[in-house]
Amino acid sequence: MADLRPADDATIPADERLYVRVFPAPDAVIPVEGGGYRPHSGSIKGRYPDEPMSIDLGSLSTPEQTRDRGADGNFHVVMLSAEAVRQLGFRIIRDPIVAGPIPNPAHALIMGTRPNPNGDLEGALTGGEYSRLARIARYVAFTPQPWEPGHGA
Amino acid sequence: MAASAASDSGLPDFAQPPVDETALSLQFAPIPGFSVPHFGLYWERVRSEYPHVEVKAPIANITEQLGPAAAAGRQLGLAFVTAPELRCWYLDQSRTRLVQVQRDRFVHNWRKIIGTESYPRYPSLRASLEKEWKRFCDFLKDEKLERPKINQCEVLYVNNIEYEKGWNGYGELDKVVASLATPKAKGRFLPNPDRVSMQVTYRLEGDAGRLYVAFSPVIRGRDGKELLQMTLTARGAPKSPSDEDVFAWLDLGRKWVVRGFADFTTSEIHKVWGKQ
Amino acid sequence: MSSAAATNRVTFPAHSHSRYLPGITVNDSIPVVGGMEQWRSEAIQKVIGFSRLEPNWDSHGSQAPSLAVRQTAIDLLMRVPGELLPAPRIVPSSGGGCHFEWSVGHRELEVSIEPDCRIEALRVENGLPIEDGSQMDLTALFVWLASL
Repeated sequence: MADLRPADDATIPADERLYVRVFPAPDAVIPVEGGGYRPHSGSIKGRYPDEPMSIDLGSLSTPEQTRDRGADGNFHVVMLSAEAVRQLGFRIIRDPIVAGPIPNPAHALIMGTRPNPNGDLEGALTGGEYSRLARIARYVAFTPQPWEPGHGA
Repeated sequence: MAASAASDSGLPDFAQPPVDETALSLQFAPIPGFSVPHFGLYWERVRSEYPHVEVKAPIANITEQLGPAAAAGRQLGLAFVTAPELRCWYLDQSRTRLVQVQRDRFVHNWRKIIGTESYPRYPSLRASLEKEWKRFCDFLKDEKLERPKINQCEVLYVNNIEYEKGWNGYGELDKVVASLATPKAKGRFLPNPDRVSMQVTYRLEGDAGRLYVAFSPVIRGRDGKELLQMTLTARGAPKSPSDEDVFAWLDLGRKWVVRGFADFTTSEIHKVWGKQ
Repeated sequence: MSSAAATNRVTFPAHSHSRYLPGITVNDSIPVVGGMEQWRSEAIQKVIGFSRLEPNWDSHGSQAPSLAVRQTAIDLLMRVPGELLPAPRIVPSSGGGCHFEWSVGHRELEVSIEPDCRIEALRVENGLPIEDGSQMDLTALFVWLASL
């Protein structure tokens, strides 16, 4: 099994906030004992299971910018701390998007340990890894118009 | 095949029948040598018209028992197999028409997906089955596999009877089901039913098989609406495995389904469905 | 539908036709049998509601969960032992899947239906996922979840 992932980027400080946009399904917001709300594990899974997890660096983006970038703004935003993510064994690397219709200088990746079909690590996350991240993430912004099945989205 | 047997003449006809799905099924002994690669090879033959495929678990072999042993217990087909069994759905672009293939079944379905599709009518479905069955048999021949000998045929119609279209709940089921359309007794104790399920079985003419008529409340998967689902299934053995006898059986089965549907339901609800 | 409490057993004649056997129909409908638990009915409605998600609902180009995914999800919900477990939390997932979470005490069960209708399950205990490679069928997983 080869580890093909880039090394963790030490220039991303421990106190860096990492933002993730979350579709505002009714069950996506789960209260946490002691206060606050965490996302449903399924809410933070990426579209492509063989790719790392996309995030925005808080030093280069606000929650509102993450919420609105390339979207209609009707999303919630959760936050993870780089320190907590690394403590779980993940790597964080910068991945700014400079070309294309929606540039995003804040874009970064959380790299997991889900092996590809050849058994190599390229940064995809296992279900358990998404589950762990969902449990340390906390909501920092809510859309005032969460999705209801009777409305379009 | 005799086209006149497939025409609608003489059968009740509805402009807007509540039909949601139809299936025409041919069952046979497992084709010796038909295995996993053949599903892919067959798909190559039909892919231009059925570009989507889904793999499913196989469905059970069912044979109508009509003789003296019929009450002894359910007859299930058992076979020791060394290869994995599966069933493939080959779907057209719209996903409303599909062919289902497994080692001992060939089924052609039509269904609604969105809900506004028009029922294409039996002659079209029959013609489509004929075409696909021939194509399948040609494929088997080219692969040097035995032509199946059909031992059971099935015609199935699923009808979704929606509330507020001629009736408003189980207290008004007599507006839908003809056998319930009798005056309610005065002073009766029981209130209107909460829900009703019903199943009735008939023998087809000439002991050709059975017709099953079932009513049950369901939630429709595509929109969550609760409605009354009426399923009519005709199943039995053709006189012989020849294509002529097989399609003659399907025509008979369909006649019983259509006539059974009309007999079972009231003239009042027929108006809602646009009986011609 | 006969009660499990009945003592006189009957067998059904050979030609009886059960509509609950998997058969040749493709469109699934969910039988409404007497009192379906409210949580189950609501969960089914949630899944059905995902059909109304518009293209690109997640801003990453995802389509709504397909009919096949929704039917797999509903089939799953119908198999949950209702008297043992609470209502699940259900969300659509990017790519067109569906994701369920059940919580009982310090145990959680996550079940994911992928866009290709594969089902993946994950047990979580005390906040930690159990990824030991063990294979359990859904019934065993629900029993594990409920057996505190």
